[in-house]
Amino acid sequence: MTSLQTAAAEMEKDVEFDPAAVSIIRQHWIDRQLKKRELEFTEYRTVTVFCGTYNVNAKIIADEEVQRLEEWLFPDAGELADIFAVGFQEVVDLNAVNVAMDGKSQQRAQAWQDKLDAVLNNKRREERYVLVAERHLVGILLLVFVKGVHSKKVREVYGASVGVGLMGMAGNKGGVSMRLKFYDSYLCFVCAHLAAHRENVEGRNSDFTNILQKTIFVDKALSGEADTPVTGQGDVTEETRKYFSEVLDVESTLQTGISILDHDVVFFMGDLNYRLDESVDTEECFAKLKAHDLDFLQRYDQLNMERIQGRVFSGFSESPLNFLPTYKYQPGTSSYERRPEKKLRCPAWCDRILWRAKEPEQVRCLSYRRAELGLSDHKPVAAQLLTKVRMVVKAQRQEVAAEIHRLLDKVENDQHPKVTLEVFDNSTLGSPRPLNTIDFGLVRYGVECRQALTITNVSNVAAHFRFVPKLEEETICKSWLSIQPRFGMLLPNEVGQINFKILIDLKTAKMLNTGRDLLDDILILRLENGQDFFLSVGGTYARSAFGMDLEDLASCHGPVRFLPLTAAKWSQFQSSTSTADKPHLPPTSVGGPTLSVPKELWRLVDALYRRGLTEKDLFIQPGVLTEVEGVREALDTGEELEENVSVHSLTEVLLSFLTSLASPVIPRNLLPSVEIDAQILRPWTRRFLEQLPPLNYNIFVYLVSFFREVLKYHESNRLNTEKLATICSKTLLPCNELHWGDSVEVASGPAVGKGEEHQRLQSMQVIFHYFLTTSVF
Amino acid sequence: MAVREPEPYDHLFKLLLIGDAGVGKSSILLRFTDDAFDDHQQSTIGVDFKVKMIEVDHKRIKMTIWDTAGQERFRTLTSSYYRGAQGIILVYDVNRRESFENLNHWLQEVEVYSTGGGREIVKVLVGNKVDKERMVPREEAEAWARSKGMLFLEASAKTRTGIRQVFLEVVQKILDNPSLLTNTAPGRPRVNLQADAAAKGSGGYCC
Repeated sequence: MTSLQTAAAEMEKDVEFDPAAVSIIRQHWIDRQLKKRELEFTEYRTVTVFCGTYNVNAKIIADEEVQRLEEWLFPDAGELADIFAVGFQEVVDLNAVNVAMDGKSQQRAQAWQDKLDAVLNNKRREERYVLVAERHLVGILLLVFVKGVHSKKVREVYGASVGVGLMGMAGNKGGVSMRLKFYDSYLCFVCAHLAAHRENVEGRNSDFTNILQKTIFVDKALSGEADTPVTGQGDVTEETRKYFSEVLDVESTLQTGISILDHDVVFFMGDLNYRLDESVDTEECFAKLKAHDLDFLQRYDQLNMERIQGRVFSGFSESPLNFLPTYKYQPGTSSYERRPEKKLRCPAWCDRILWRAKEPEQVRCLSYRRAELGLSDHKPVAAQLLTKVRMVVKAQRQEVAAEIHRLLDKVENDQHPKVTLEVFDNSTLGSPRPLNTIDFGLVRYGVECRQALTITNVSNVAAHFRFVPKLEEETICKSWLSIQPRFGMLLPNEVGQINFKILIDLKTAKMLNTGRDLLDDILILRLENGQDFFLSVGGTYARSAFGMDLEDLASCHGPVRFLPLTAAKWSQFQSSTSTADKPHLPPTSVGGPTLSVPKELWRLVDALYRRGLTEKDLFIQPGVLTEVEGVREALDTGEELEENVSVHSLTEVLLSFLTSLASPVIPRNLLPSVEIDAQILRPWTRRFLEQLPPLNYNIFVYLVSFFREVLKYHESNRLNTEKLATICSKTLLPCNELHWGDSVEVASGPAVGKGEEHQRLQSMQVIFHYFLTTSVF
Repeated sequence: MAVREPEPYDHLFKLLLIGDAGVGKSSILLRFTDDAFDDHQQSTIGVDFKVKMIEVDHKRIKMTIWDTAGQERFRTLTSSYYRGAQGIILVYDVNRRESFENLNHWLQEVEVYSTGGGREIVKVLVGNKVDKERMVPREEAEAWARSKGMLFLEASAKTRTGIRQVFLEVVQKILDNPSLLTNTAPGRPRVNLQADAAAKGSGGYCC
């Protein structure tokens, strides 16, 4: 057994089972099911997102001029935006010191934040805005504000900065990004400053690509409360995590490494530095601007051209450029820089705002314009974007999630075995009924009763069943019941049968006769990893003289069967006569004085006396089973004994009646303790007769007298003294374990060995012989 | 054989449905697990259980919900299944006053047979079948439940009313009580009634 277990354990080891892997795959499946049914629990809300970009050329607006920012931030008409995402470039000079040290950037970022805050929260208006987060890298600054009413709907805010400038990594060029969950949509804002110079289109393209590739949101949340991911994935080992993220490429499942394009909507703003194509002559450009032919110029915008070629900003949208190029101005003026001492530049739309939505219809651009601030050599640009954000209706999502889980629960519940039980009921001609009661009907002493139950495995797994004892009990059923089989296994759809048999023998009859036990039990049939069935087993016990006490029988005038006795009455009776060491029938059942011998004994002996004395092989030949049962029934019910019943059946009932008595005719303590020889035989038997209790004495004398009568006809019935002495030994002495086992005398008397016991029985044989041959009474 | 848990979870709770026969314990369970209702639900002849996963507070809770026979003659038998339960759902039928009157008996069983005398165990009283005529006033049941330190809800397995709520309330209460959470996380020894009972068994079954 031990080696078997070890072998099983070894095999278990060879079977790969990683609960964490199972967990991840399951969660992924659940997420996908939820995603598929998203519409069932999602509502949409349209919000206005303001995106602004301003290359401030290291200038800062004076406090008294701050209100001028309103022209840029606020539209001419309509509602104020729900979200303000404001990007700046060159908040500091892009010199070596500023690129290396954060101090000045930090200071300027704070200054711009304060100024924006002052404008957005101007007391003249009711709306209040709160800062979600600030993020800067050298000259690049991104500030995101939301309307106060939405502040609780902002979660999972992360920031990231990527430098793509000098050496491909310095922060003089690059992008800062911020992502957040707004209601239930994921939004990402990017503020970028790409490579300069008219001819360097490829540089700008690759800066963009680098920003997309290198921006990974892994920082701790900047603000807002992060949603705790659903746990329960057990202890996911680093190995498992790595396997899923790298080998299987499942990123979202493990919530690591979110990139820009993973969001529902990406807003991309900044000084992207794209110019007009070099095929456009600068003077021609100025001429077209004078003619306000923006359509012509747009066609030569490098960003537009590159996008058409699919080389950059793939999947992004931008509104038409219906405003004048924003670069390069004489600072503080609305004139393009054409002073002779300065380098002549062709005006360009350097400052741009684009967006990319997973579902393109969810974003609509309301306006795309520039503002006429004179602070810098750039003009600021603004876009108002109507954006649909998802709102998960919690209750509806729960409902859908519950349905998905229900599918999984069903799979698991189907792993449990299920059986149906049917009892074959004889009364309904063998048609099965799905009940848990196994009813044996009337059960008689010594008559075997059978019932069967079919058990059908209706599940898809093997069903292991077994009977188990009730709590604090040691056996699975009472001793009058036997069950076959007591355990078993059924494959799916297999049908089995469980047989139940009741046989009341002398061991169990006494308790049932006295009402201390009932033909009633509950069995627990356990289905391993499944249901426990409670099976009621029972019947009505036909109370019988067999297995009763002599005293009870003698005090009972009517048929034993009809004694008005219930368990309740019995216990009542017992408690009122607690001094009695043996239970006797309650006085109510006593119909008069005690009989000298039990009437059952008298009836049998009387019948034999009348019909059987001359019968050949009397007491030796067995009876007929059905007749034996009939005679027993007649004794118990008081009905007449059938006249034609065989004498041998009568003798068999007589002998089994005597052996079934709850206490023997000759009590154990009267057995001889010394060897009986001829010398002490006479005085011993005299004392023996004196010591027999009156009822036992009556019966003993009655039987011995009858046997002596029988011996008179020995020539025809072929009996002799020896045979009858043996019959007496077998029927009148303590003959079963009950007699030997539970008598008080045994417990208090001297311990006796087996050999001694045998010797006593031998002595009794001599004594019976003496009584059968000698006239002593 | 090693027990493999195909279901990842944070806590495993054992809940028990008890109450008189015919008050709708099996129907409550069927509604909760399968969202179904059977007008001809057969009476439970023993103790059955179903497994159910839910998410509460971002925690995955796996429940084994034990449905017990309500018949009087099985009462002492069913009580042996109380051990190790974190939650007891005591059900009566608002349409049958007798089933309400018997609640004291049931509560006594809980006190005698459940772990720790049932003091820590979360108990909720459910008045089922509110779709039917009411023979037990809500206020009366509420007052009784309060006096016994129990939660109280009315429900109808037939119309779905309050069923999910019953289980969510129980789970929430269990989660709120750290002393009930010992041994509920995976990978730690759990109270296993079946194994206990098997150890006492009479033998005669396969090894």
